[in-house]
Amino acid sequence: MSWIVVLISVTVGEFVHEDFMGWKETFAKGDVHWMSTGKGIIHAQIPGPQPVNRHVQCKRL
Amino acid sequence: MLRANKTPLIRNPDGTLMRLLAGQYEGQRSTIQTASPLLMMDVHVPANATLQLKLGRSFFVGTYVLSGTGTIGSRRVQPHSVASSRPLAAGPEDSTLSCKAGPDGMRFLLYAGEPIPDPVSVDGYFVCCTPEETQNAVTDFDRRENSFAKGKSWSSAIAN
Repeated sequence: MSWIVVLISVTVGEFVHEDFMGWKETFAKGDVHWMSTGKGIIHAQIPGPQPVNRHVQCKRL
Repeated sequence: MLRANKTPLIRNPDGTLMRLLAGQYEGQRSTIQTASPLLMMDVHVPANATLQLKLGRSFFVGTYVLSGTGTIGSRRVQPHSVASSRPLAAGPEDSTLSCKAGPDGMRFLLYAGEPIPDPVSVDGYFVCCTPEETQNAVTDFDRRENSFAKGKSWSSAIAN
């Protein structure tokens, strides 16, 4: 499988990431969360408690 | 994770501010590692100023406007505009992308990078080089086998 990098730049609010490798992080406005998928990954991502949470996501091969 | 206070900032004399999120630009380098050259920046161009972005000659370029108006290359843009381009350079020199802000300034996200030479086969979230590889990946995911074996015993705490 191709190696994919997922780049997430948060512009408003915050998000929480969790994956089956054991990573769990909260990332907020201005932070960049990045993840390489390797040969495969299962993850969850949910918005924070603020009324508005927005990010821009780029999946890069 | 690259925290906001660890992202290199590049300031031009005219007030243009570039926050380097991935890749390298004007001597600054991000800590995010990629397998092929990539540039990701959060760019703010002040009112009526023009930024000449220097990009690798073989880079594909994409921009997403967060606020303000202006022109990116030959494209007039406003919030939520997406402008993209194949490699801009016709000769051996690096590309230059001209970004001119309107009267309220302009902020956009820049994504640029070299294309990879490999073939690509896509099925939703699954991306491989051949349809057979992609189908195998989907099957492995459904069965939680091979690369997805860790998923057999994992359940998300935040999503449930």
